[in-house]
Amino acid sequence: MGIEWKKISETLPKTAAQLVRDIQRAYESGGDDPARAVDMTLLEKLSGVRARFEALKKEGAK
Amino acid sequence: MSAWHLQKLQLKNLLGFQGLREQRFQPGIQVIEAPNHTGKTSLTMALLWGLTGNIPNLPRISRQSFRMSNKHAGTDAEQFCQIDLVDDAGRCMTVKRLYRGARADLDTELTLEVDSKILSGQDAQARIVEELRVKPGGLEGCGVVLQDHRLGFITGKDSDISEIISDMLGLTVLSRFVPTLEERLKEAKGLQKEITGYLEAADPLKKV
Repeated sequence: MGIEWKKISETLPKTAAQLVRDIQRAYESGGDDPARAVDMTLLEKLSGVRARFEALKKEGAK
Repeated sequence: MSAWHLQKLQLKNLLGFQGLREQRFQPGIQVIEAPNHTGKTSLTMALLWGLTGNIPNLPRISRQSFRMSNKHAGTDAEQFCQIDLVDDAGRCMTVKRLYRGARADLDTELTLEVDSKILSGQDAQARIVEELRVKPGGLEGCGVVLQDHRLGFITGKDSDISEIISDMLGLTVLSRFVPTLEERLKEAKGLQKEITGYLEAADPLKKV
């Protein structure tokens, strides 16, 4: 059974504004190193998409 | 070198704004989120025009339909953009660009006030480039406004993430602020390619 992009996209922020707000929040709570906080936020989002993709692939292969 | 950030932008009878419009900015990341057609792009364009004298190329705005002056303002109405900036040491800088009529890149009058000096014309432009490190055409990719490591995003409710990401890609200044950004964007693109490839291979007729 195939997998749908819709299911993967559920892990993404719903709108660009949401992504920007997440980055803004990370920046503001980043203390002495806001760049690292922004980076961690982006990494977290990428890992979320990757994890969902892998899980759906696994499920589809069953 | 100083890190300048935007403090205030004033527009009068330019682009989508009739009369005087003032927008204040805070240090750090600033998000302006507003419905479409409320002037976010006008704000961005005016800012870039004020600093560089050039209008950024926007695919969705054709050169034919582009008007620098507000269409509801009379032809004799005063038209200008004024930008107030402040740096980390508390120095202030005011850029004022008046619009005179036909061509946005030529028919302008620029004045700059910095360190208690008033400069005009080419001297003013050269000083702006030196202080802000902005060059004509160097800030294309409307949608993200930034100055040095201070960021400002201007997004519409219909903007999609790829548009914002491509804006980010086009602006290397942002990479200076988040050194790993380019790497993350490369990863995001790689992941997107991988997923698209997988979905297309699973269902070749379905467009992702």
